[in-house]
Amino acid sequence: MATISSFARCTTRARSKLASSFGAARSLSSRPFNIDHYTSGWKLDVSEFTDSGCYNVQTFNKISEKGLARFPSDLYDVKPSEWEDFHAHSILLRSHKLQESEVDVTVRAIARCGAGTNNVPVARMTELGIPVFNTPGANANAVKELVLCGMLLGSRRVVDGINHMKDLGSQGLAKERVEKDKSMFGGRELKGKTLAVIGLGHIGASTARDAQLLGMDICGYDPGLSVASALKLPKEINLMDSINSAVSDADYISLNIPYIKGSPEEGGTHGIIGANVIDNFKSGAVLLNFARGELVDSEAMKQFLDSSDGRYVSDFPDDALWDHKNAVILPHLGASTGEAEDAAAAMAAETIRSYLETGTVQNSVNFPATKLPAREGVRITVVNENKPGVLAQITETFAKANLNILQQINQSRGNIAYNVIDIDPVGDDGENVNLKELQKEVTMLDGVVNSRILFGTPGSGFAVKRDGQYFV
Amino acid sequence: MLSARVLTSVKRSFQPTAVSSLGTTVRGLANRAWEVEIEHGRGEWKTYGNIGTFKEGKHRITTFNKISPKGLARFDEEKYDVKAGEGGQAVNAHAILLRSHKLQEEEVAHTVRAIARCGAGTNNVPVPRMTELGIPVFNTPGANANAVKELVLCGMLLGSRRVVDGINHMKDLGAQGLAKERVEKDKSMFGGRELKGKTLCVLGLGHIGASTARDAVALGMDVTGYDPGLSVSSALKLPREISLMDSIASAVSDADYISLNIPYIKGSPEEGGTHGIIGSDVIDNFKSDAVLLNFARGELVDSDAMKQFLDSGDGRYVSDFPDDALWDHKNAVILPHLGASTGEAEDAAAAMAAETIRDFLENGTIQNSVNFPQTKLPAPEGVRITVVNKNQPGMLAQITDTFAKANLNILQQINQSRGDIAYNVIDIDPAGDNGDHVSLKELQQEVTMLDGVINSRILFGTPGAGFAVNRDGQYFV
Repeated sequence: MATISSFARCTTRARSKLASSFGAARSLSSRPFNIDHYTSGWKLDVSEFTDSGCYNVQTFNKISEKGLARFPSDLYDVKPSEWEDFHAHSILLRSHKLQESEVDVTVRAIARCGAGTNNVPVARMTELGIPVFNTPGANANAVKELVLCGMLLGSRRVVDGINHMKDLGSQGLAKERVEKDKSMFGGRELKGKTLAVIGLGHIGASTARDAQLLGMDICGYDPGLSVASALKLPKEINLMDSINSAVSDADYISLNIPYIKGSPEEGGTHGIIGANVIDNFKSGAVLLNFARGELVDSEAMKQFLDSSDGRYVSDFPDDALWDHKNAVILPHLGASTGEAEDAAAAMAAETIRSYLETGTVQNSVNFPATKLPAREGVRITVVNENKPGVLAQITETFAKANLNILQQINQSRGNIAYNVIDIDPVGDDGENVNLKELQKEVTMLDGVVNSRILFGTPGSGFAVKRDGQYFV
Repeated sequence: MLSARVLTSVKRSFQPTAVSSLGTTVRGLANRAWEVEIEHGRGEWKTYGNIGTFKEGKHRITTFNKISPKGLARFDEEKYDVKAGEGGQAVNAHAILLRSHKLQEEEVAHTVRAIARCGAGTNNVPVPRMTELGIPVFNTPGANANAVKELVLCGMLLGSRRVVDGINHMKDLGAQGLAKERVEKDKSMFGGRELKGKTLCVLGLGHIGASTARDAVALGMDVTGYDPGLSVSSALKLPREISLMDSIASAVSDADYISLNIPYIKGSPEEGGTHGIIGSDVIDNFKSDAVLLNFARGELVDSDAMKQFLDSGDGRYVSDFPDDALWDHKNAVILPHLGASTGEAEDAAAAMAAETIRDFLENGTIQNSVNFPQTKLPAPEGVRITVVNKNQPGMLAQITDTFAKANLNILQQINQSRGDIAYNVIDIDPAGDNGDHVSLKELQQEVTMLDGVINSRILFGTPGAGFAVNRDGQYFV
């Protein structure tokens, strides 16, 4: 709850802050704008919000300091989840399994430092109008290097050999026995072999490029291959038209697809590498799974490993295969490098900043990619259910308030739609407009989920309709 | 023990067999038919067993260790008889093929002309003694290169995240049924860093070093290197982005990863060897978290100095050679000696060794030898004779003089030397003043018994015939 004097203070400070953020200067009337901030209805002690005048970022797991440094300290307050009495505007996390109860009503956005978002209840967040972001590509080099390691670990019995050398060492027999015993651990080379890459996004494409440089033949399968992704592929790659045809000639197979709940028949990817696919494997094939454990049907894999000289190399635990002599199970280290942690945290931070400060949506797993370039005016964002007529109602509300829309964009994705609207804050009477009632009216429209006015004190201007009630 | 002399009567039709192996052709004298008398197996060879177990009229190859059948298939059956040396069945071999078997002098019969090692290092062969005996020792440079390079790459990655510790930890958790529950929490014990953007230093820029350097560039690394003996042909194989340094110490000082790819030569660096060349003075220049990769030879590294380094920083030692001081160090990853343990490398090395032996036995060509000079006299004309002698003044003159006195015209010849040994390939016009009939028996004895000559061969006629040795003042043929 802000008093007039503090409001004026905020406005002046906000003006200079906004002028510096993202490089866009706005020339505005000198009269203050009226935005409600945390008036009644919030079940909180609002003074913590109004005093700080910062965007609040809450972190789960240990997030890289280099990444968190992307949040300028004068605009952002970053606290770990253990910090009491901290109401987040945004959440940054790694693999913490996020519960709905941990998501404050004040949360505008959630960013996961990593590729998969299985640890976030995304569908529920969409209902609540909260975009969930990930960091596609930030981990790619780290995962790719581990896939490469996995290919080599699946080619000679390196780990068995290392453990054998420790046994011999403890008996003082290493030098005596190494030449004789090494024949138990030999194998083959990558060069000249065929690698099939299932899924040709950042990681798959990078893996394909490196394998080709190591002298391998590459084939791949990706039904959703975009032009942008294709440009990253080695030109020697053979694109196949099904998983079965891709794997049938492959000596090595790398899985680089997302985990989507549901069987393949249902449109998901659970157990997508099942008996019918594995039946097409060469008997000496090495399957590399550095994507998600549940993509592979463990029982079918076990039968394959029992009956052939194939290998399964993965960085996901597997109850059926953890002690199989032809399986190599790593801990989930795909993204466990300092570089990837820094890159993912930095990307997540920039994504959050971009959303909070300009309303831009990029790298979201549930919201549509949306970007409206900066210009003069006051920016308002509206999240609504994707159903007919809502956009018309929103724009009509602005029209009735006699507010000129300078530019706007509307995007939808699945059940959600997102609008970014820049308005001329000067009404037809030459006066600066009171946006309090406008915001309430827009937000309470049937189908609207929340709205934000990106102006003034950082962190202010967020309004939510929840269970028919208005929170601002 | 053969006492019969082999008189090889040569007609035109026989010529292609004698000289056509490996695609060489006879020029100039193709239309002539001549008779050449050569001795074979006259008494007093030391016999190491039943000579009859080897087939007559073939080159005899003895193998130690399991040699790839694909490689042995390069010896065509009509001219070569291949037997395993273990079990004492193979005796009086003409050539020995081996992998890592530690060859003893008594396993090298007087009849042995050549030894080939399927691999790069020849520490398991008594090379200086073989040189004294006039026996070239061959290796297979480059045949294993891809296999070793892939293992070095694996080693770089194993030294970047604690992969092996992590795998073993997952087995422990699995045994307790806790894998899924604990993996996300425990994985932080095993994380690390990426190769991309880091610096790799390659010491030794031969086949394996160059290949490693190229791949590292492809993976986004900066690469430096050091090789005091870098040749033009080796340099052509290097990635042009490489920074060549002028000493080991300067090369390692900025490196995050260091790969050793140099041969093991007995003796300390001061003595010209490479034993313990990575000692405390070099290690003192390492970055504190440098990863040293040794897939060359264990004895290149001073283990105690390495141990101190590993104790005091976050560095790693990754090697496929056993190490008594480091085998259980938490920052060391010791693999078995798997660098060349792939089917492809075994096939390639055996094939290269077989071809090298064939080229030597059939044409007198020397390539890939670790003790003899590289020698190739193309386009054999007439009858080819090779002579191995000690590298001392006057030998060549005496040898050629012997031919002159026998009125034999030398059509072409080559002479090369290396260290203490010299090697000659001489093609003579077999038509002496007798027309088309020449006996080389006495010539061979005379040449071979010259002071300083060790052995000689007449590459003509029956495979395996025509080898004469001057040992301890005695003549064996």
